[in-house]
Amino acid sequence: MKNFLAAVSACATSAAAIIRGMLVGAVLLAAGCGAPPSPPDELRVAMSTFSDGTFLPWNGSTGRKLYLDTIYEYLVYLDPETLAPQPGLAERWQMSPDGREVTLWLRRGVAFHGGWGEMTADDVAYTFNRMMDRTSIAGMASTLRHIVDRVEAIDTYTVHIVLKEPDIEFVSGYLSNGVVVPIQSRRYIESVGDAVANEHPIGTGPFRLVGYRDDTFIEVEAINEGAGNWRVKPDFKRIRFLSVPEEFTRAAMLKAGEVDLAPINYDSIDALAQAGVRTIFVKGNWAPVVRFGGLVQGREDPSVPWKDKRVRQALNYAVDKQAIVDYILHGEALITPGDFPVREWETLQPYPYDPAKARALLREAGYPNGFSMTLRTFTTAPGAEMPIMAEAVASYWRAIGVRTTIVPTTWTALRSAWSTGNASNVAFTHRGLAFAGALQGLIASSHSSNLFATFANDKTDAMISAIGAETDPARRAELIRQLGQYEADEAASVFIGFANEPYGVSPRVGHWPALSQQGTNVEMTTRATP
Amino acid sequence: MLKYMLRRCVEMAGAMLVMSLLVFMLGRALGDPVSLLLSDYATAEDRALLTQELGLDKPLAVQYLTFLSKALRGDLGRSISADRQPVVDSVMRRLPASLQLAAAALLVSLLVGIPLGILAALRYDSWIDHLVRGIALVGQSVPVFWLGIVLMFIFSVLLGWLPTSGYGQLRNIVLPAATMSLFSIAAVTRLTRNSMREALDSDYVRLARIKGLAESRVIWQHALSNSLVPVLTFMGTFFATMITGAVVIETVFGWPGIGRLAFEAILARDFPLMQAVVLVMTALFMSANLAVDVLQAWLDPRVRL
Repeated sequence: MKNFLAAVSACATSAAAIIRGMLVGAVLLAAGCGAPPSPPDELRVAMSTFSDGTFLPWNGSTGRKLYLDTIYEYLVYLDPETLAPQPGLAERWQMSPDGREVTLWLRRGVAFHGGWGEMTADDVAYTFNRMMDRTSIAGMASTLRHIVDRVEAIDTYTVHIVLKEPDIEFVSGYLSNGVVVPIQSRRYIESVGDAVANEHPIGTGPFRLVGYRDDTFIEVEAINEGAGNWRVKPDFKRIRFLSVPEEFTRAAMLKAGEVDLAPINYDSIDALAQAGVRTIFVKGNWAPVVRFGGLVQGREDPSVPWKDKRVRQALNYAVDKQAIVDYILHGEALITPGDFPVREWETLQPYPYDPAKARALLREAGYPNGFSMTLRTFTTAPGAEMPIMAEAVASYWRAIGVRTTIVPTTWTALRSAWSTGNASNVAFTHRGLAFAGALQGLIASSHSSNLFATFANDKTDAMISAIGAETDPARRAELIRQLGQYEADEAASVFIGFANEPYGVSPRVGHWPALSQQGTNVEMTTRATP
Repeated sequence: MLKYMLRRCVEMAGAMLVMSLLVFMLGRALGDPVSLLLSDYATAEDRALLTQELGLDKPLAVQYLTFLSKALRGDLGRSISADRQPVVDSVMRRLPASLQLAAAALLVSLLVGIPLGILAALRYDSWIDHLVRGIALVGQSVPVFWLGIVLMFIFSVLLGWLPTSGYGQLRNIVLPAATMSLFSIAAVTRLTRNSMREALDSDYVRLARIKGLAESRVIWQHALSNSLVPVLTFMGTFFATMITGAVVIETVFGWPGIGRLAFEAILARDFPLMQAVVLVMTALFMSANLAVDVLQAWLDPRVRL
């Protein structure tokens, strides 16, 4: 027994020693290995995803824009405030009176990194031809194929683009930093091949790629020993992009001072503010909306109650948009009837919150006792709040007798169902993103030939054609406004507004001239003044 | 023994074949990647062209047999979304991260779980036993995503001792490994405790005591060595689960392992990548099972019968 107790004691002592040793070790490890602060010259940016994690404009999606825009450059740049096109790699440009041809004169003396020569018209033509090639999986590929007839190098510094259809917004809509058609070096890519060029991207931008680890980090360094290039003299000499899919983790990183810039959810804003992290809002970057299936001409679903305009209007009147904006979007949205952000629609009159009128319209449409319907919802970035928005909308609809079953889904599943006609009898929450040119968005959402249209008929098709053909900017803006008014009157969707997207920024960050299209210009971020 | 191993290998090949068919069919049932790859301005013609380019217009049986014949030659295809890279390369790039995390969690589980289990068994029905059992119960009940967030909040945000996330340095692995190991610590503790209790009550331990062996020798040499066999068996298979089932932990801590790759492949409907990840996971799991079975068969001849 004595031996047994001795053994027990030995065991207990050993176990305690092991545990104590581990704890001490862990504490020592922790004390010595805490998260290192960002170096003064380094900007750390957390992204929810690197998307494809590829580096050529034609081998991935728009989700890569934040880091690609530091390495590459565009022909024109949109002013962050006015969205007017400003000179970029193209010093000037001229659109033909009929809106079908653009001539661009390139900036001279802009060199590709690594001694790959001067950027010329030949590089511009090469970039567009690769973007439009059938092998391109870029988001812009099919649009460019539809709209661009040919891109020619007239001489070393002059490019001529011929369009299949007129579009006076072509320069800002397709050549700017609002989209992803950055100029590539033909000589470099043809010399080393796509595979090498993808691993070692060469651009004309103020930064060059110095490190990449699959789904972990991307690191870029300012060229010319930190001096940058003709366009940007970077305040931060290095930018480290981190892939952090979980929003809580991004918020924790901001609080712990591990990152300087990160997309956050609206419900993190107050908690981060208490920790000294301020929020920058990218104005009007997305539109929370409830879209209806079965409203595209040729793909209609006659069984859905909302085929009747009065029902759609009733569903709009029933929703208290202001409450949703205040309580779900932290007050950061302009209430307006548009299902993706368009400047010309900002002044349209929204549907007021009027449940009595909603009930009356339902009665008039033959639904005095309401009806049952399905509302699919999903989360995305931006748009993590869509499921709770769906709950709110469903509760408002319940008050007028519309019984809603909310079905959680994923963006990919919904997109698949949507484009194959399997979402015609349901409604779904959606986030309409801003487009560099309003016409692109209108074609995407309201032209009956488009797979992803949600409200389209002869009238929207004709209005879109008229907008494309209109070469006078003021009249074109008026036509865009009229199309917006028509869709608002038709209650094409249940509109909420144009939301400002929140980004948490550390005290080290001064100014970030974020653009409402896809949040770019990270290379121009300045350091805070002490 | 050789015959037993051959039989298990044949069974494993059959299971892999069934799994390949299941993954292939389930992947298609989730939706198609074409809608994701198409731009917002795509027309029906664009859809048809892309479907044809990806070979998704062919009958399912043809698609499956093509995949299978290539897979048998070691070619699992190219990713649909990520620059059409060979999917095996993508999986192999992520596998080391998963192995590191699982190994660290395994080490912590054994170093903490076994001593705690022994302690509880030796102090049976005492407050120590109750405390250890309570800890084990909590460890097996707490959801890992919640635990990960709490640990991150305490050690990264409040104390600033450890980084919230990341990969590549020793400090990055501490929180995810601690989070991942909690469940297995609890399991190992309970298993060690019960197994040790059984061993301490067994005839051979009584005989050893009657023979007058020193109590420390009875415990360490006779009781413990036998009671650790089920623990090692459990950890063998659980190690594979740690490698393949860490989606949540890898997402919370930004750890670039194959669990996260699988999740991303499913979201992107990247069929070839999805198939490759699941087949590699299956192979890992089955290999671990096979290793454990062989070990058991070697230790216990009755298994081979």
